[in-house]
Amino acid sequence: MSIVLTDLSVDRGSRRVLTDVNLEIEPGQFVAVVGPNGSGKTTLLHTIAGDLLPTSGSVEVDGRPIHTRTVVEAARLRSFLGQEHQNIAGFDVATVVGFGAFVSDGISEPKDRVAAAMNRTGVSAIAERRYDELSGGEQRRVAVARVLCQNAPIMLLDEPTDSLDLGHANSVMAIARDEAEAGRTVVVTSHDLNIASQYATMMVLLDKGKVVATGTPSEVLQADLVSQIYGTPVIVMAHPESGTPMVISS
Amino acid sequence: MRTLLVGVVLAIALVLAGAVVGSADVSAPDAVSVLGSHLFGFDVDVPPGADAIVWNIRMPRTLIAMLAGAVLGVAGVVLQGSLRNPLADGQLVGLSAVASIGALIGYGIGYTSVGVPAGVIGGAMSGLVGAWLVWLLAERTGGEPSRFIFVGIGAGLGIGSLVAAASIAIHDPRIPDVSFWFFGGLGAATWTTTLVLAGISAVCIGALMPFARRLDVLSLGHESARHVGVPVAAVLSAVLGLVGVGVGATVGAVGVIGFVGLVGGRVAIAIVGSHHRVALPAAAFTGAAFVAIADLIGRVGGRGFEVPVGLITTVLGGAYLVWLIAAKKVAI
Repeated sequence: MSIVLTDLSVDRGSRRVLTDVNLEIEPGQFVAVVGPNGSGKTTLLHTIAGDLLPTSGSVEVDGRPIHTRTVVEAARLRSFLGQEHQNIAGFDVATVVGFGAFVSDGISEPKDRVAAAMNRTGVSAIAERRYDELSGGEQRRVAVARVLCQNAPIMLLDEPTDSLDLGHANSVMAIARDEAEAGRTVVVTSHDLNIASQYATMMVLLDKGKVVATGTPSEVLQADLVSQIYGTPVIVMAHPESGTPMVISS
Repeated sequence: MRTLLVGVVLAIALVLAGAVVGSADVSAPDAVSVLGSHLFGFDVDVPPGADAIVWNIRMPRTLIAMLAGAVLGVAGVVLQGSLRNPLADGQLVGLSAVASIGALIGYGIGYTSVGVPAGVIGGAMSGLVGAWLVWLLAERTGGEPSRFIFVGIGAGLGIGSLVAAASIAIHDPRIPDVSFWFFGGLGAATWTTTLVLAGISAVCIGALMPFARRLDVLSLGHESARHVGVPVAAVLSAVLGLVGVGVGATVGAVGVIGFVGLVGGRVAIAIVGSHHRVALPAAAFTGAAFVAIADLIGRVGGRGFEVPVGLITTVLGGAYLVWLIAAKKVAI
């Protein structure tokens, strides 16, 4: 399912956060939106999700402006992993994962889909534990399982590796890549250029609300550009096995 | 199932206790005989006066206490779940105080043409407005539980005091006294008011039940709930509206009885868990039991004079609130 952003500008309060963003994202792409803190990554994701209205321009999902969809229609099109760590008191892990299936079942929790999602994110062993007693990393993996359980053709993941150790971070990014390879459209934001580079098929570099580069990770992660945008000298070298670009402070 | 059975047995026990306990000298067998004659048509002799005391005074009083407790307990669970605030309660968020404005106006009017106390209708109407104001307050306080509660307590005390002051200034015998607006009052309960509140309670609680699953999903947070397909604004409008009408009607019928939503709601969740499918009916039982027990204590605790039911619930509920916070049982 395609996402098309045309001349998109978004204001939050009196501040312009995104300016004239143009992007076309095709089904099967794994897009990583990167950029310094405050560059507009999260705002971009929320606008694609339909949470924020464009100040000007448009966000079309499957050929229609996303903000014209009902809540239920939007939930059938896209799932969303937020940055916040929710204080969900009193529910066990399996129940929280099952919340992801709300839109497709309405009332009951489809147990097979819940079990499969928990299995893929490695939280099956803690299925009966209370969500509010988990560590931050465990909660993050449960949230990813909830997103998988929603089974939407577009997955929007805001900093999905936040709070995760190296192993779990790679595991979550691999799941996202597998979903893209299976035909879903996956958009993640990330402050970690290297893990984004390792998994994404397309990278969008934002700075001060504007797209400064788009393309494959090798095309976007140029040492001069990254040094200038992040305000610190870096060198870019190829990963010894995969050949993907790696950014290292110099 | 065992929990339900315990709840039903407790409710029946409290109804019987409500028929037996009081300052007037009616023996337990006589009180039970009165109930048997009215409920099951038993042909029994009871002392003169016992029938009027038990059937026309104690029964409506006991039942209206339990109905009020049920509504306030359910309201507590809904407010806590929908606003994602573990301390939310009809009184603590200021809803009861706003409802008391309409109740005061209603009592000034008197009775409606069909005999329903206008105070109940007025309370329900302003409770509806109050619930949406509470929602606005929750949004404005940015989801910070402690800030929301502090503003609610402050606004509630201010509005409640103004209503109480107005009740003094108007000086009309149709309007309940100051105590009613702070600590409730069950002494004036009649069968008419009880049946009206029973109808409103049944509608409000019954209409909330289909929202149980949506209320569960709201625990993700309003934004995440919307992302998985819950039309949050529509759900909140409906459930808070129903809570507003229920709490407002209760305020109109029996005044402001504090902490029932907090105690009834938290205790119900502690017993049956957070799933609203079971927490809502459980809170109806725990809220009803809390108010009924507080009323029984108030009837006998004053040694000749009656202690208002809301004073008992506030003493017990206040202690419970302190314990919840001191023992870090809730995250605020």
